[in-house]
Amino acid sequence: MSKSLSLLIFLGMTAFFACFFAYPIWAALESAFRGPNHQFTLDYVSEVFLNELYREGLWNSFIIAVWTTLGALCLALPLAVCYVRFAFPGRALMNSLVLMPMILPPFVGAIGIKTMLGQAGALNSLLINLGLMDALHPTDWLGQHRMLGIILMEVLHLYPIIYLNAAAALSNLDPALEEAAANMGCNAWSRFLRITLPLIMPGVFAGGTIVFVWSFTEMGVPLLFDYDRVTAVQIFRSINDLSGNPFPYALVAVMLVFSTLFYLTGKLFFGSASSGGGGRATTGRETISLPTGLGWGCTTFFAVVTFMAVLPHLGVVLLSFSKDWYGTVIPHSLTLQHYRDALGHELTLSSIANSLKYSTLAMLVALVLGTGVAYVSVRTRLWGRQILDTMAMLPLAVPGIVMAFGYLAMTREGQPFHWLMLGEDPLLLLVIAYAVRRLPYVVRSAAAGFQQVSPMLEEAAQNLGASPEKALWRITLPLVAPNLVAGALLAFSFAMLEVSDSMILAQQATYFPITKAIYALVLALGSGPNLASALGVWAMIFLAVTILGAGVILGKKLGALFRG
Amino acid sequence: MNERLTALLEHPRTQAALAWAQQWRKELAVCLLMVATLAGPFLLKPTQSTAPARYDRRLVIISPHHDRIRAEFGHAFAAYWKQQTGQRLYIDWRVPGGTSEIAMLIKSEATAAFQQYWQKQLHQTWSPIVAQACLNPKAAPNDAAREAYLASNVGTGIDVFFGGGAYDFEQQAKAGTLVAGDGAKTGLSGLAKQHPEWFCDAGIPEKLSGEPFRDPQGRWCGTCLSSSGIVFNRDVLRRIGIATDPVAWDNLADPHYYGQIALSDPGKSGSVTKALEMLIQQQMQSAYVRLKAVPKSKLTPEQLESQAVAEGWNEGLRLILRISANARYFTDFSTKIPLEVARGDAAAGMCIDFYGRSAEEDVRKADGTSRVGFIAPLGGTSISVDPIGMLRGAPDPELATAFMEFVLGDAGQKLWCYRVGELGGPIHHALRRLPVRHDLYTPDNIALMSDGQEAPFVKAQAFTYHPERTAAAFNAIRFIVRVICVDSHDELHAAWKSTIDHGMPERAVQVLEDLTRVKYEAATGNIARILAARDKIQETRLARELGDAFRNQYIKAGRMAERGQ
Repeated sequence: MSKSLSLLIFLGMTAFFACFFAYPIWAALESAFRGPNHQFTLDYVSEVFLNELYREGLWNSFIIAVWTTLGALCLALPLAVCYVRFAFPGRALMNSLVLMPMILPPFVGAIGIKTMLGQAGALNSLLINLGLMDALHPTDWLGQHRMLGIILMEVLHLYPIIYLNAAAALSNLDPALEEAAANMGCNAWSRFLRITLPLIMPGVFAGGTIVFVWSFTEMGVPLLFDYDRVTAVQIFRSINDLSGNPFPYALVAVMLVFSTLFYLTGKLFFGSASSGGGGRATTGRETISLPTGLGWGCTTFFAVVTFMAVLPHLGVVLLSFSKDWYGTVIPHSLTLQHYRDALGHELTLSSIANSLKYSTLAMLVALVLGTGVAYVSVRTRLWGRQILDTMAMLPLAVPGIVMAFGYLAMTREGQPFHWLMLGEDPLLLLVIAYAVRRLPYVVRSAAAGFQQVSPMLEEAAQNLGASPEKALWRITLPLVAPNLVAGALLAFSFAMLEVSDSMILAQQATYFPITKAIYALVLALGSGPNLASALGVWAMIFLAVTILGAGVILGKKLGALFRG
Repeated sequence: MNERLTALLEHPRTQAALAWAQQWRKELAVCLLMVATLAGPFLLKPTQSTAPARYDRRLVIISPHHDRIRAEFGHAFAAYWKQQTGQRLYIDWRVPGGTSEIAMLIKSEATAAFQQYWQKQLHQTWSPIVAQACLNPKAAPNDAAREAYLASNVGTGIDVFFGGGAYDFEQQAKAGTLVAGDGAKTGLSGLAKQHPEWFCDAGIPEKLSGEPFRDPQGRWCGTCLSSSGIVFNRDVLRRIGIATDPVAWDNLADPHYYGQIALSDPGKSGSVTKALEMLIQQQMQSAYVRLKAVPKSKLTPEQLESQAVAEGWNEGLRLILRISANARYFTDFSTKIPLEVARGDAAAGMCIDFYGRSAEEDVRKADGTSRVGFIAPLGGTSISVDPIGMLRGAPDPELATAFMEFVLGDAGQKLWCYRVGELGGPIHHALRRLPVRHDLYTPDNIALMSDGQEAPFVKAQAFTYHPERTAAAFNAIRFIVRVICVDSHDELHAAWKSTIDHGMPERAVQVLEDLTRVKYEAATGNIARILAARDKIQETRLARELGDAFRNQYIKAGRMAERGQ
C-alpha cells in the first residue's frame, strides 16, 4: 500500500475515533473529573479506590475475567486442535454446532437459565426425581454460588471466540514446520508446546484478549444473577440513580484504564508477532483419521460442549411453548399462544425491519474501517500504528451504557452532532454506535489474517509490476477474505444482539430494534418471560438461517477460514 | 395436454430455467428459508395498530406502566378518538424504564430544551449555574433562569406523563415540568371546569387518610389506586415449615424465611421504597398507640409524638434489617418479585397490589386454587394513587387533555377494573387495578369489577398516612436501606445465618441489630443534611463509612454467634 493511502486511512480513522469514540466518552466521563465548582478534580477517582465495595467489585471482575478466559481456553483449544488435526464422525456438522452460542443472545439465555435453575426449576426437579436431592431442601442455585454461575455462563458463551481464532490460526499453520520437528525426533507434546503453540499465539491472543476484556466488563450475565459486587453492575446500578452521581463515571474511567492496561500487558507478553510472516501452508494438511473409539470420543466431546452451551437456550425454547413450567423437568402443558402473541405484537414487525437495517449498515461500516485499521497496524511502519490498533480495541473496554449516554449527550439539540439524529430517527446514531462497538472483532480477525499472509506475496506482485493498491486488491485481500467474512458475520450477529445502545438510543417504539422489543416484552406482566422467549427463539432461528445460509452460499470460501 | 407439457418442459427456456435453478439451488433454499422465517411476523401482524404508518395526530406519552395497561388504554383511546373525530391517532409510548429513568429523561430533555431557548431566544449565556437553577424548586425566587423557565413553554417533546407515584409527580410539579393548563380548555385545570363532579370528595378527594390524591393546583391527578402488600407462594411456605399464610409485614422477619424473601433495590423502585415507608409508618403508629396507653404518662403531646416517631423508626428499621437478612438478594425491577415468587424461587416478597393479584391469576388452576396468594397487611399500608399530568410545552395540549379526560372519565376508569369481556372492560387482560373515582363504586359496577370487593375507600381508614413523620426522612430511608441492607447484603445474610444456626444468641443479635448510627435524629439530621446538599463526595464518604461500620458489625455479630455469645 502506498504511504499516502495508509496515511489517509490513519488520519481518517483518527478523526472518526475522535468524533465517535473519544468525544462521546468524554461527554459521558466529563463529570468524573469535574468537582462541584467545575474545577478539575481527582477526588471521585480516589474515592473509588478508598471504597471497599468498589475495590471488591474491581477484584471480583478481575477474578471472573481470569477464570472465564482460562475456562474458555481449556474448552476451546482442545476443540480447535481436534477439529483441525483429526477426522471424526460428523466433523463438519460439529464445527458449525459448536459455534452456536454466538448466535444465541445471552440475555435471552438468561431467561431460560433462571427458569431452569430455580428452586422449583428443571434441574432441581431432575435431581429430586433421580433421588439425588431432598424435595424439602432444594438447592437455591441462583441464590448461592452466584460467582461460579457467572463464570460458567460466560465461559459457555464466549469460548467460540477463542475457538474461531485458534482454529483459523491452526489451519493457517504450515504443517511442514511440525513435520520438520517430528523428523528431528520431537515428540507430540513438546512439538505442540514448542512449535504449534508459539506459532498460533497471535490467534489465541486475539481471542483471549477479547474474552478477557469482555468478561471483565460484562454486565448482562452478573446482572441476571443479580450479583452487584462487580464493577460493571455497580456502574449500571448507580448510573440511573437520578441525582447525577459522578461515581459511576469515575468507575468507568477506572475500568477503562484497567482494561487498556490488561490489553497492553497481554500484547506485550503474548502478542509479539514472533510468528508474523510465518507464511501460509506450503503443503496441504492431512487430517489424521482416528480409530473409531477415539473418533467418537471427539464427536462426543463436541456434542457435550455444544449441549452445555445451548442448554440455557433449550430452556428458552421450552419456556416459549410452556403454559406454566413449575416443579417439573420439562413443562407438562404446551401452547402456541405465546408465539401468536409475541409475533403478532405491535412492536415485532417494525423492530425486525429496524434491526436488519441497523445491523447491515453497521457491519459494512465496521468492515471498511476494521480492514483499514488492521492493514495499517500490521503492514505499515507508520508512526502511531500501535496506537491506532489499541484505539480500535478500546470499545471493548467501555461498558456499552456509557457510550450510549455519551452518544445521547453529543446529539442533543444545539450540540455539534445534532444532525446525526435525522429528526427523531436514531438510524445513523445506532449504526455508528453498533459499528464502533463491533469494530474490535473485525480488526482482530482482519489483523490475524494480515499477520499470517506473508507480505512477500504482495512484494512479489509488486516486483512483477503491480501497483501497491493493485497488489493489495488482487493478492492480499482475497487471501484474507475468509477472516474478513468471519469478522463481518460476528459484527452482524453481535449488532443484531446489541443491548445497551439499543436500550438508550432508541426511544420511540417505531425505531426499536429487536433486542429492545424483547426486553420490553420480558417486563410485561405475567407471561412476559414466555413472550420474550418466543420472540427470542424467532431471533435465534433467523440468525441461524442467516449465518448457516451464508456458510452454504459462500461454501468453500467460509469453510476455508478453518482449513486454510 | 401431455405432449404440450413435454414440449413445454423440453423448451430451451424451461431447460435454461431449470438449469439455473439447479445451479442456484443452495441459494434458493436459503432464500426460501429466510422468507419462511420472515413470514411469521408478517402473517401475524396485528390488524389494528396504535402505531400506524400514516396518522393524523400524535400523542406522546411517557409511562412506567406495563405492557397490558399500555395496550388496553392505547387501543381504547385510539378507537374512541376515531369515533369522535374520524382522525387516526398514533399513540407514541415512551417507556425508558421505571420512574427513576423517566425522571432522568425528563430532566435532561427539559434542561437541553431550555438551554436552546435561553441561548437562541433570550440571547443569554449558558452556564452550569443556569443549568442548576432552571429546574430547581429551591432556587432563589427572583432567579432569572428559574423565572424564565416557569414563564416559558419549553417542552420535552412529550405530552403526558402517565403512571408512577404521587411522590414523583409532586417532584415534577415542584420542578415546573408539569403544568395545569390554561384553565379553560387544556390541562387538568380545564377538566376541572368541565367536570367539577370528578374533582370533589365524592369523586376524587384531594387527600385520603393522609395520602395526596390530586394536586390542588391541578398539575397532576390520580387515576387509579395502589397499595403495597405481600405476595407469597404456598408451596414454598409449606416446604419451609410455615403453616399459615403471612398476614403482616413482621411475619417476613421470621428466621424460617431465611433466603426465601424476594426484594428489590429501593434505589431502583419507587414502589419498594413506598412499601418500606409504610412498614415504618405502621411501627410509628403502633409506638404512638402504645405510648398513649401508658397510664399517667408525663409526656406532652409533642414529646409523645416525637418519642413515638423515634421508637417506631428504630423498630421499623430493625424489621427491615431482618427482612433484608432473610432476602435471597435484591433484584433491580420490582416486576421480578411476583415472578420469582410464582416460580417458587422465593416464599414471599413485597410488591404492589395488582402485581400480586395478577400473579395469582396467571397461575390459577382450573379448580380456582392458586399456589400464589396476595394480601395487603391490614393497617400496614395506605392507599395511594398512580397519577397522570400534562408536561410543560406539550406538543398537542388539546389531545393530551382529551386523553386525561378519557382516563378520568367513566370509560377509562372502567378499563382499570372491569373483568375481561364485560361491556366497557378491557379486551385482552384484566388490569386488576381499582379506579380512583369514589362515585364509581356502586353495587352495579362492583359486580363487574375483578376486585370490587376490596373496598379501598373503606380499608384506607385502617391506616392513616402521616407524611410529616417520614417526609423529612424519605430520601434517608432509600439511602440507609441501600447502604446497610442492599450494599452490605452478603455480610448481613451470612451473619444472620450464623445467628439462626446458633439459636439466636442474645448478644450477637444485639450487635447485629445495633442501629444507633442511623437512628431517627441522625437520619433527619446529619444524614438528611448531607443528602440534601447534593455533594456526591460527601454522600459517598458517608455511604462508605456507614457501610464499613455496618459490615464490620455484621461480621462481628456472626463471629459472636459462632462462639455462642
